[in-house]
Amino acid sequence: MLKNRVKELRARHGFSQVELAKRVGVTRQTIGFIEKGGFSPSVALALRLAAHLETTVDDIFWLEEEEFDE
Amino acid sequence: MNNNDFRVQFPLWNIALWFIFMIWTYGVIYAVDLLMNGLESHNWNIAAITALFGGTFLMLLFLVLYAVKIHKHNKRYPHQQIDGFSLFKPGEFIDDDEMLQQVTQNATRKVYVFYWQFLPLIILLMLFPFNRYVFIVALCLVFIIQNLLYYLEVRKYFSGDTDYADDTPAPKKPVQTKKNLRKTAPLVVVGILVLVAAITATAIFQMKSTHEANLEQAEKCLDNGGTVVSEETNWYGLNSVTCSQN
Repeated sequence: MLKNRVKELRARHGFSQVELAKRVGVTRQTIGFIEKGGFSPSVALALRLAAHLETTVDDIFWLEEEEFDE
Repeated sequence: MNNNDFRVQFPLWNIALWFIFMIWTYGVIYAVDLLMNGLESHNWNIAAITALFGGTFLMLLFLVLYAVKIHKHNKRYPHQQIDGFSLFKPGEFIDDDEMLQQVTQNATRKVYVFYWQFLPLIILLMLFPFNRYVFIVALCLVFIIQNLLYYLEVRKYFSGDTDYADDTPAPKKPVQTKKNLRKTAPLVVVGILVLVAAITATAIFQMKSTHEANLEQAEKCLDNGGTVVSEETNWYGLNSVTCSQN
């Protein structure tokens, strides 16, 4: 499963879900779903999130270990 | 955006439209038959006349409310305008961002599967010599169920019950909690009620039209000096009338 630190990084930057959504050009619900791990964003959106959260994509998103055990 | 957004509720408006259409066509079929067969030889069918005028009134009322609702939505959301009368992009399609596109894709996929399952049944239904109103009701029901499926899928997203991760393993069967039941039960009940109402209306219409046709045929037969023979020939329990000449 794709894990992420969007919520943590967003809070660190002091962004609300609405504010981050506006910055990266999506709806607030999409940010909410990404944070919960319910939606895997496209590469383009992941790159935009990384840019606005001032980090790299692999610092925000990673695959959970058990994915590789299968 | 939430469950009250017009674009989310759009399929419910479509359902209302098809329901009104079902009522209206009952009257229209009667009016067409009346025009084709002549006014003199027909018994006045009060239910059909009520359906014709009532259906026309409801249709006009619907169009006014629909236009007002669209106007309000477009004024409130100038960047997410709906073209309510477009034939190319249904108003219920929501594709503001990639996740909403995914929601729309999932909903249309469900509708596709529904058509794939249901259309052969409609063809089977057409093999039987029902009144043409039966087929109109069947097709209206297809549209109603299509919109209900679409609405239920999109609504899940806005109530936060769904998961659109691309790489998640096979989803676990959702636990049917009391909260979930409270949300879906009214829609299921409405769906069943619509289905039962439509089947009942169709059966009544079938009986009434068969009765009228038999009566007309019997009168013609008696006028020509023949003997009317009534037989139960149809598997759905309706009589047919034949005329034997003495």
